Amino acid sequence: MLITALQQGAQQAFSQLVEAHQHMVYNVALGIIQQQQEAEDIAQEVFIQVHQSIKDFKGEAKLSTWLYRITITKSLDWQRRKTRKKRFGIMQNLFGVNNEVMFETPEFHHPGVAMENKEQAAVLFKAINVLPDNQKIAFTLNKVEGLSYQDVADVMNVTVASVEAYLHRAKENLRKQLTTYYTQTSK
Amino acid sequence: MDIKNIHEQVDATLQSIDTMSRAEMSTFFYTRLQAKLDKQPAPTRWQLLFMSLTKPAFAVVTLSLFVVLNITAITITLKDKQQSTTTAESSTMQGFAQEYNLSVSTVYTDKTDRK
Repeated sequence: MLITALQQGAQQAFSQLVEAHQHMVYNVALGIIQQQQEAEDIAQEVFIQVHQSIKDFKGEAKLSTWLYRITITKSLDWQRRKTRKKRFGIMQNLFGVNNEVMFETPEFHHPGVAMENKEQAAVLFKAINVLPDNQKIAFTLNKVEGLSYQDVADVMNVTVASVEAYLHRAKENLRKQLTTYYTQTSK
Repeated sequence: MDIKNIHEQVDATLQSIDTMSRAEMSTFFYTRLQAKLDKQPAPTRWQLLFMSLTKPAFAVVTLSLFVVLNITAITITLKDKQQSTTTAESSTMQGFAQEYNLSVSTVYTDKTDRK
């Protein structure tokens, strides 16, 4: 019913959609890109795209699954653009164009983390940030957004076994990174 | 820090987000979103045309038509080539025969010669 109303361009339906899903979209974008203002910008882009392309939505997947996919795509695109800018900044530094250290990743404090866990969570999010895309997405959807393995599989369009594999590798990689980090900081 | 402590730190760090709650969007997000949507211009005729041309169904039909037309053109070209090869062969043979006076003599030619 909501989808039909959205496809007919009903303003009330769109408002309901945003209200129902804005926190979800924001939380996923924030988990991936780890910057609050940019995550809000991405959330806006997600809903603008939904507004423009809802007529093409065939209903093969759930509306929430579709929203998750758009959010992940836009978040990863943002990250790639940022990496390209960072590389360009490094080249500028090499050629002496700019002496400042550009694009240092600020420490990220997720607003949903309890005060006593904030420092450790910040270290963890830094480690999550360098995971390969599939592992990062699976970990974010499962741990940050709280989706089940089946829901993660639906969003990523893979099998549950693949999700289990991604999560297993993500945890291994995180463990390695964190061990190195704590070993170095203890010296 | 010994290895056991490091492992404990790593475990604690991995568990630090287990009780995390979902981050919430700032207030008036919908108002800002609506303002941004209102600023967006309506798509022009050319943009609408481009959007319909890039739809998968249209692309498949166009591609199929393109393939069919190409196959038809190739088939016609091959037929024409075969015919013109046959015609060219017979005219080449006649020319050769004329040049070397190798024309076939007929009954009528014989009778005329005898007269």
